[in-house]
Amino acid sequence: MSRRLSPALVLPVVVLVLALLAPNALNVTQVLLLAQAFIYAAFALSLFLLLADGGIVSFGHAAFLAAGAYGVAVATTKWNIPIGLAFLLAPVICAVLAAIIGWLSVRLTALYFAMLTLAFGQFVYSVIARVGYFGGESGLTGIPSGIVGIDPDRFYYAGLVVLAVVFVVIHLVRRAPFGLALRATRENATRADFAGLSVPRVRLAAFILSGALGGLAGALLAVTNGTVSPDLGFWTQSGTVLVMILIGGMTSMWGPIIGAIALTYGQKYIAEATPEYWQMVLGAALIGLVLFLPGGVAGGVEAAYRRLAPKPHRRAPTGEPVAER
Amino acid sequence: MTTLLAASTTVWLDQIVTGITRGGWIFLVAAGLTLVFGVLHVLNFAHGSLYLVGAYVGAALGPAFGGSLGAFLLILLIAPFAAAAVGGAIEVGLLRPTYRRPLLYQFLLMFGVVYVINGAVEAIWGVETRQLSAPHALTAPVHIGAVTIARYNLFTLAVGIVAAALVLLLLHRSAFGRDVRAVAQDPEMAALLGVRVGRVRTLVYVLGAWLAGLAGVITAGQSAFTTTDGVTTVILAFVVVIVGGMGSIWGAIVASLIIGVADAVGAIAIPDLSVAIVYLVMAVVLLVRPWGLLGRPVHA
Amino acid sequence: MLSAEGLAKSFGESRVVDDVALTVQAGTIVAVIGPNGAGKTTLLNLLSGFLRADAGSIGFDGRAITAMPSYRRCRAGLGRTFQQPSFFPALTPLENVQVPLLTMARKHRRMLGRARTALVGEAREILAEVGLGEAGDEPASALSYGDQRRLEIGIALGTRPRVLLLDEPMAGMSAAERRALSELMRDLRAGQGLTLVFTEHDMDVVFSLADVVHVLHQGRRLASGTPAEIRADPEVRRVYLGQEAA
Repeated sequence: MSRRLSPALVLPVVVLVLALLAPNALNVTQVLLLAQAFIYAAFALSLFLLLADGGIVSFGHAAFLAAGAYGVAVATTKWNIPIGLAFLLAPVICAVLAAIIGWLSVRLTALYFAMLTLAFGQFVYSVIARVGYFGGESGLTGIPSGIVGIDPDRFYYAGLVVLAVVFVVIHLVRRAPFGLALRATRENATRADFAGLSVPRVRLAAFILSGALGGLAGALLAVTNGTVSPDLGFWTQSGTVLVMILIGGMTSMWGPIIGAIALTYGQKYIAEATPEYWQMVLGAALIGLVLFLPGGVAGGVEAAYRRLAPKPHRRAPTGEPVAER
Repeated sequence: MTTLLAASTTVWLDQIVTGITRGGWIFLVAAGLTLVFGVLHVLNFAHGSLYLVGAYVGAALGPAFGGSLGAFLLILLIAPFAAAAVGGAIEVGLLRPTYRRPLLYQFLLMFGVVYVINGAVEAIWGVETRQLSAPHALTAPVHIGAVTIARYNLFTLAVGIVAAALVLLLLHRSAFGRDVRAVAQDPEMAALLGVRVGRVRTLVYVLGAWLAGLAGVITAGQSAFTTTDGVTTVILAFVVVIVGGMGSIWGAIVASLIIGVADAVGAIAIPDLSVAIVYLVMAVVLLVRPWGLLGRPVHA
Repeated sequence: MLSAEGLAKSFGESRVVDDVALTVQAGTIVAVIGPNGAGKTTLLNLLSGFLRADAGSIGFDGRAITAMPSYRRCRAGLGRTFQQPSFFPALTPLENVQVPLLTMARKHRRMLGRARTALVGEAREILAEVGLGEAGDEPASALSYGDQRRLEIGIALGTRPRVLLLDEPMAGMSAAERRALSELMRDLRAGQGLTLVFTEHDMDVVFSLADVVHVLHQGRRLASGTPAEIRADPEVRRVYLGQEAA
């Protein structure tokens, strides 16, 4: 680590400090809302690595949210494993699941790969929704909450911790040689191959990491809610996380975080403001974003920044601007 | 498994016949999607919502038209046009400006449409379950030999067969069908030969939407439904399209029958996993023969 | 150094490469020429592993590489460029060259550490060698066509090749750029003892650059020899009559 304080560290540190202090200034509803948003932000970040750096579109990422959540649920309620251990077990289970799915899928071209992730996602969903062991349609309840307890502030800090962990891990990976190799496979898979890289292997590694981190988010979801239900694995959940990444934009890691917070808040407040039409408003907003602002919020900010400061800007060490896919 | 083994031949036969009739319904659900994919190369995730439009409009027309068989058939014919109209708006307003965009954006766009349509039908007709009452002529059970089938299922199968025949005739025996196949194979070449590619794409999407709406109305006549059925049915349609081959009507027919029978047999043999197995089949097809049983390799 | 026996490749009905055998000596510059559709690009695709041969065998540096996947051939020292420069558009020129260097140093799997500072020295050397020493921080997509071609060669050099296959490297270049690229190719042969195999339509370049020329026609090897021999060969002249001013 460099001894000079890198200017790029300023933003994350400031945000972290604000986040740590926030519960003191906000009411319970806000704190709970943010707690939930943090979990989804972590989930969105886990997909971000695959999507933004790997250029890989997955329609089945919710399988890992569900697998992580159900992993914790089954481990604690059926196998009587202590919650702390179960929590750590969840990403491992998801890594194995991702290894299997990924190993089968990575040689497919983009369209078929996306369809295959959809198939596997729905497979996971239909297993947890129908097989009695997993509680069927109503899911499983009675998941112990461990040190997280039932205190909203603790939910909040747990979410913040998991989000921070996921953020740091993904930041380190993106900045490392592997991150460069992954981006190379995104930019030009043939040339990556002719630079000596085994493209399927690189993609598989990214897929496994992505799945494991998604499982971590799922695990926390199980602990904070105390229950799990099959909806977690339904394809619309995979769609929702893609929406979060779209809202926030793919140019920086803050995108998925912004997107998750925006969608969580958006859904709640729009539904409160217009209970009859909230879905239409949300849908129209989504369509509008795709048509007019595909770079998302972060992309819009970046574009505005570039227009205002036309000299070549220093790239943030979180990663160079990502080519739009 | 033991239940199946111990069951008599009648049960087996029953399930297979049920499966075939169910295949007819599944074909209706999937036909529009495979057409749209084969010609426009778009993953039409809004397909389930167009299906819903047909169902909701059909259910709304029911009380107004009365309960006779004739009225029912009329509704079956009219309600899909609502879906077709919505489909036209989607294609012209949303797909045309974006059809060169990457996969992800098309998905998100259609996802937005799902939200809009779900919201619209719930705003107009509420969130409770809806249904269209089928006339008595269609609901009495039918006995063929030792097997009992619900008459409505047979009716659905008949509609499916008629629809398949008409679509195939349209595709292979009409000038429009010739244009459609040209655009499906090579849009640039088709344009050079004078085909109005944009118009063909719109019309195909509208036809796909009409078929989706028809499937919706037919379902409305059989069971209660909510907006949830939209998002679950679209995935079933995708399975059929993948297994049968994207763009192949015959493929959709074959795949629908296979899945219909497999689902019916599975429902009594391994009820917990019958649906899961269907998704596994989809996965296997993608791994072994991604363009499906009767499809052609797609160059996206 | 590089040899092929009985190579064949068909696409549907047409035999694009038909029972081709050739040998390439280390340290030579070899040209593969032929009319359009002769199978030159397909031959390179087979040699580099981009395509699987239907029949035949390929030997490289004493090893049989017929079954070796393309990325392994690359690591073994067989690099290539494509007709359209193939590189990483959104990455900077430096990053473009870092990728193969990291792979060869087996560091590409590292998930910790900084890619930005990894092997920068070697990367800059390669950029300088291909004439891109002044390249900045802009994405490679911003480079001119000629510079993109140089960058692509740089990426290929990053895998420390012993043999470099170039598919129509001069395509789309001005006369001045062609001279410069020819210079570069000679320098690579002289400086690193690289063996170069290239396909080309421009006969001036072929005759000035190549030590050995192989002529392909309709998927078969028609003739091989020094440029002078090829120029005088009656079969070759017949095939090319009306197509090129030799």
